[in-house]
Amino acid sequence: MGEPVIELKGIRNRFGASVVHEHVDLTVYRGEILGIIGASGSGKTVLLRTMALLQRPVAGQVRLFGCDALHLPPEDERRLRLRLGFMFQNGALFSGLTVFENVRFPLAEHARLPADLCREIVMLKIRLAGLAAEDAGKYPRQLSGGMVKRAALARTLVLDPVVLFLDEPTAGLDPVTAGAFDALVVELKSLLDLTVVMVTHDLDTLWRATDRVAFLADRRVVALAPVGELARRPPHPAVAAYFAGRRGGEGAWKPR
Amino acid sequence: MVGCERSAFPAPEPAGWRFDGSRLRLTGAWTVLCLEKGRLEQPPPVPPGRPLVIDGSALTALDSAGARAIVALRARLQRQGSAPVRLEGFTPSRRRLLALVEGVPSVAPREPRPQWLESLGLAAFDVVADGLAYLAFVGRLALQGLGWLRHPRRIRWRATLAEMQRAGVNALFIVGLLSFLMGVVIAYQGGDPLSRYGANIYLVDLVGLTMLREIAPLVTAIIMAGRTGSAYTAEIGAMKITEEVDALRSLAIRPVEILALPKLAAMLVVMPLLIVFADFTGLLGGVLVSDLLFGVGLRSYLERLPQTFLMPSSFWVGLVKAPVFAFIITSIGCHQGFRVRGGATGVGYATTRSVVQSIFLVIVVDALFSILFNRLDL
Repeated sequence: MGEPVIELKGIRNRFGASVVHEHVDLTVYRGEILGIIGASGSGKTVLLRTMALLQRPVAGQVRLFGCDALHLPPEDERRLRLRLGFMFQNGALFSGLTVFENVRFPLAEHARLPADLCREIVMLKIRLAGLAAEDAGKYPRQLSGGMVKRAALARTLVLDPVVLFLDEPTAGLDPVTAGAFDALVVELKSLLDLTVVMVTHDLDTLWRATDRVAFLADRRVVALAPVGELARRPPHPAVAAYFAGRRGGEGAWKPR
Repeated sequence: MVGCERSAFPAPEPAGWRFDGSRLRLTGAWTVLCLEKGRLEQPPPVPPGRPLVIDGSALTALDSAGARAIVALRARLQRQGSAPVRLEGFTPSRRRLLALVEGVPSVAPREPRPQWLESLGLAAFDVVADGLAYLAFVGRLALQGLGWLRHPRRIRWRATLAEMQRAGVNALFIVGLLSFLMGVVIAYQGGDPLSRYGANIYLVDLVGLTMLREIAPLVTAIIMAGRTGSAYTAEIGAMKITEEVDALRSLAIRPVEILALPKLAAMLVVMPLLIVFADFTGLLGGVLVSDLLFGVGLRSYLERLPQTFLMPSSFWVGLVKAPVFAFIITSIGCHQGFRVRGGATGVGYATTRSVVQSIFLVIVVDALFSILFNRLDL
């Protein structure tokens, strides 16, 4: 394993009276793909947002690239954020801009590139994310759900982040598209030397893409291991239920 | 790690090159934030016809933007020198990255922009379509409002009361303050010429008439359009783009009935009350100035003012406008909200339209009222 890129220490997150995380410790190493799983409402997305500095924890430490990321001077924080890419669950594309403009936006804001290179990079990322060139001129409202995800991925990748955060990247995609998406993430990871942290409910994605999986339950990480190991020897009853309760079997829709 | 306080993320050496006749050695970090426009737009002076090597062994970092820049540079040098340009000194993973960024779809994304004649036509059509859609909306509002009147049990009291609180009670301060200031201004401006003729006492009529007839209803309506009508548009518009309106329809609940009718009912109640309040504070402002500067005190007001309250009274003339203004503001606000399309900009656009249209219509209707009352000798 490489050096640690993200270190969470004693994270505590709270919304009003409800505590989401309590003493969460988690380390993400360079070059790995870490999956975060758990039941709905177990705080997966909140944990992802904490790592990406979108959610300030009530207590605890977030160390990114070896630095205390919660107490950085503004300029360092800007540079740090440029190394992080966050793909939101619903895409969060700017609705007033076309796909092309959405992807170009971060580039235009932060880089100083010649116009033709800028256009090439944007189109390249659009192609890498699996969109057709014709889609570049469309507005978000004209896109299907899967295309929104791809456009969002293109925008996330355009500044070549070091760490990529994906919030349910394959939710709502058909199995073929989802499989292609997983392959794309793995491929980009190895080509661009990315570290990927993803929240997912997609068991196929877990098996295909992740190196390790963190399981959230009872407000903390109850298991942290490669997915095969978790499935074979679940260290916690919640993990066992998760892998046993495949859809259709007993589990998900148990009457309460 | 220590020393994070300063320069935790030092800027890397910018992308550049050194050229020694046959070898172009790339230096620095060829990454998206380190590529410089000025540097890239002036390629090195390469003698034509000589094979050239681009050497990547001295690169400190490479990402896909840098790789794309190298690919573009190579193509450019090849065209310029008409000789093969080889890439050397790239690690296998960097070679794969270079291969990945080959072949960019070249279709220029071009949003079709309508010609001026076309946009003029579209704008004209939009005005007509908007007007027709507004009429249809008013129809629906009326139908469902009748439903409420025929079956009072269907009235959503809780929502209506909440809207009254929002549109009425919470607006008391701003309506009162602005109306008070208008009273001050009118007394100020009118007092001077009147006192020159020794007709100070007519200040009462001036302030009373203008306040009760025109200023209080108009000021209230304009504040309501800017404050409440815009809020209605933004609220319904945001619900529209997040598909909440469709969710209501899928639950067999009529959006107009649950979103627009309580607002209309609340405004119909609250608007007259606010106008009466504005009458009061406006007169207060007038009394204050005329008492302090022109010697016409509260006593004179109390003596002369009741005349204006007699039938046909300015008070009622002003108040009659209240339900009309309330209807205009609410219906336009909700209508524009339901018409929102697209995203966040759509909401902003609709809100602008809502405020502009309702203030415009309020003033037009106010003018029509003046003509009408004049004809009726009120």
